[in-house]
Amino acid sequence: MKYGEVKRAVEHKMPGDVARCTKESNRWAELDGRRLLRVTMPKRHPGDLKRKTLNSIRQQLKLDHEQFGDFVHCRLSLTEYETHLRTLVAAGRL
Amino acid sequence: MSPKPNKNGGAKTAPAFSLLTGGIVTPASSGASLFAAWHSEIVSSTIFQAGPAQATRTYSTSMVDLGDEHLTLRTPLSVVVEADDEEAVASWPEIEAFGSGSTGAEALNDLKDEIIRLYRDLEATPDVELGRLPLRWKRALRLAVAPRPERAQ
Repeated sequence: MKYGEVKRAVEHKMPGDVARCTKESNRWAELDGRRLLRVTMPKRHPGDLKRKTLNSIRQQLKLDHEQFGDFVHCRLSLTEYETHLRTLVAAGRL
Repeated sequence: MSPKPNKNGGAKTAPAFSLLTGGIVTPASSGASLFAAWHSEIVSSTIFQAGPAQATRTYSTSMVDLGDEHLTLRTPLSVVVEADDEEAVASWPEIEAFGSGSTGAEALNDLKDEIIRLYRDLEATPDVELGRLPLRWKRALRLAVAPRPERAQ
């Protein structure tokens, strides 16, 4: 997966996202006024993100491999991701 | 991205460690050996990633300082490093933080920056605005990170 694809997905599909400052590429997912999880975007580098880094980002997003593919490739919408997070909150995992 | 059979033919994964290792499969698929490697202070073992065969070295090591002017560690921190020929990721699983780079050293330095950013971010955020996990991370960070004592003039 390309760096830009993942970054774009993280920027557009993290509910209630607030970047702390313009230089900060890390993102928070926020629901109902509470920060639930944080995603680390590595420093800009060209081309594909490597597998271990992608896996770490996926784990921070609390997605399985298939969900993460959908998240990056637009099949999982912001609303659906928000629903996923609410399910995890209801299950006491977030 | 799903796990593929290991070289012994078994489609085994280590689910208890999947958050940490992303489904790494040992040649012997031994959960016990993974557990031992994870908890040892400085233990390295060569293991194999699920998927295309590529040797990954996973070890834990101690981080003794954050290399920051204002913040330091109260005690050495045990962090996990996964590295192969292409990339390395260093992580502190307790706070779900990681750093990446092309070598273990680069990844460790990136993780230090990440810990500092997360500490400052959480310290600047009231507890009431934090969910269950970030609140735990904040507590863990407060136990591990401290302001660096000012030097006597």
